[in-house]
Amino acid sequence: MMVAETMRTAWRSLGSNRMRTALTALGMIIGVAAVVSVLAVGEGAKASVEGQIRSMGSNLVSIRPGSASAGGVRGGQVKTLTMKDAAALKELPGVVNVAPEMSGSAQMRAGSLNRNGSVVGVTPAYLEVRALTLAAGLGFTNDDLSGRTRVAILGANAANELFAGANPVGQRIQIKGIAFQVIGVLAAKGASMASPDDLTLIPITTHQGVLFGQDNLSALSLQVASEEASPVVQAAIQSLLRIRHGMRTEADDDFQVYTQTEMLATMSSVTGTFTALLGSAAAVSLLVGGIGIMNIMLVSVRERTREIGVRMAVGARRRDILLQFLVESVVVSIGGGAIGLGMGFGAAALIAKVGGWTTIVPTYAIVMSLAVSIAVGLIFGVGPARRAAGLDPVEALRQE
Amino acid sequence: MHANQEYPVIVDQLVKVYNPNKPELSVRAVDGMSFKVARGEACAIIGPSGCGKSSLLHILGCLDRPTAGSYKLEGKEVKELSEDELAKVRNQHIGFVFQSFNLLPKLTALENVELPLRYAGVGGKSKDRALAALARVGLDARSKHKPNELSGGQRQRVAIARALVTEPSILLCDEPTGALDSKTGKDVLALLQQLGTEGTTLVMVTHDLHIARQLGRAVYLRDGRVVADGESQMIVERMLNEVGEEEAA
Repeated sequence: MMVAETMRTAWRSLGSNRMRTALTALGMIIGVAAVVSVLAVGEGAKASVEGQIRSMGSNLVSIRPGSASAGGVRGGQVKTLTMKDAAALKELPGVVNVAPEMSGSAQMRAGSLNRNGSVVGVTPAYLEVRALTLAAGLGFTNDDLSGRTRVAILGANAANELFAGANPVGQRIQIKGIAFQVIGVLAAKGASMASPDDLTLIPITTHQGVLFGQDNLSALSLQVASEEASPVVQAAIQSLLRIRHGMRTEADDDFQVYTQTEMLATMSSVTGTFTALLGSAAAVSLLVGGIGIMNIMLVSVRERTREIGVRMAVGARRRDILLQFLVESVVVSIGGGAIGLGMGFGAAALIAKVGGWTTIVPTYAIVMSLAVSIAVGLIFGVGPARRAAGLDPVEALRQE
Repeated sequence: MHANQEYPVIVDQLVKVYNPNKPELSVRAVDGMSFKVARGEACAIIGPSGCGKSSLLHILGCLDRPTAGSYKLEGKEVKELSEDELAKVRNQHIGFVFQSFNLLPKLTALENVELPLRYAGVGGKSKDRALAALARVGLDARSKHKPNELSGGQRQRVAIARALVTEPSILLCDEPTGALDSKTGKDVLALLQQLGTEGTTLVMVTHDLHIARQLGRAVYLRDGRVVADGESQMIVERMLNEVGEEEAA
């Protein structure tokens, strides 16, 4: 018997008991929908983390001071990175731009409004290296740097809190009681990793000489020529800084260098582990769905024993009967899988809409759920199908 | 020409033992039967219950294999055939007509008749052939009806059309009128007899001696053996003499 014919027979047989077929498929539907939506949430989380990391700047390499450890106890950050390090790093081949940072926290006031927040000393290159854009006003110039001018660029939240919607550009604010002129406002980036919305930026020289008086850098961002070059540059940075810091060969680095690729890999592995964990919990329901199919197929074989006898009497070979029942179980499982896939898409869209999470149904989830559906149909269908095919035609015909 | 051209069915010293390995449960249902059925012949198999009619029918229908002896269908020794070959023989050489019709309830009359052709791998022309078979039993107008939309007599006609559609060597009937009232039973029998005159070989297991009388020949079985074989009127009389009217019916 031809495959198309077998498919038709299976379809008809399943269609004649729609309620039962639907309930049998329900296990697969729920299982596949659960797996697909979990994978969609995982993939979405990964993509959104990746997007955040990418939005921190293109081809970015970050350097942070290492942690001091004494007797196995980790202390605070050590003061190892300096402006001279930054200048030296700028000369490395492959390094396009360097943006040193100094961090601090201070009270700010504008008219009657005030806030406590992070005040970061930066250089004119900072905006470009960190891929930040201005919503209004201008960036810093080298004159600001050399003149230690008292100018500030506000993050979106800082601007809102200090000016309550009014345009801050050209206005005055006080930081630690010292007057600054606001020359720009950063475009809002929203809640994400390393969001600049809460920052107040000032020239690094002003930060050092006027407000905080510290010499060490809290971070250094480097823009490299290409992402492929970043491992090479990373190695060059390490050896340069070790030499500059006069470190012995056996000593651990007193700084940490991260490339964007590394950050991506770290975050991916975190979200990946999470997704795998939830996905495998969801996959258990596929197993249950498969057992449901097997159960109904066994009932079906028993009910249709006489039909099997008749088919054998008119010339069906054992393998025709085997195929017939196998196709039925695969049709149920793949049908359930397809519906589950659709519902998985629906659930992903709903989660995105209601929960505000990014959800992406990955292509591999589509291929995998259909492949797993076929596999479940085959694995759990083969037992009942073999039982049907193994019936003795005389006994089968005798069945009432 | 083949040597067995004239005898599609040749049974020689046929034996069927159920549970041969368990002496206390062992039953010798067929105990050395021998007979031949000529092409175009209409032959009744009669005998009291437990005489081995059903066992013989299953073997003749290639649903079961003999324990010993020989059964040649169209010259082929059935005992030597594999399972798949047996299925092929059932498909091509045997048409079954059952007491309870055994139509598949979800299929239309036409699809039921087409079923053997599907397993034979007949492609596009199967519909035409099935319609032609339905026309032979006078039901071509009902081809789209499901079995539960047909009367008992009509169902049995559909079953006969299904049995005929592959143009089998023999039509094996198991009490074909047993589930029908006497009027429709007569009609179905008339149809079978008419098919017989058109050249179909008919082997009919029946306990209805009136029907047996109307076929040309009867084989009288008892305790798994052929007791008598010949012209049906004569054989039926002999059986009535031996076992009495009540037991025979």
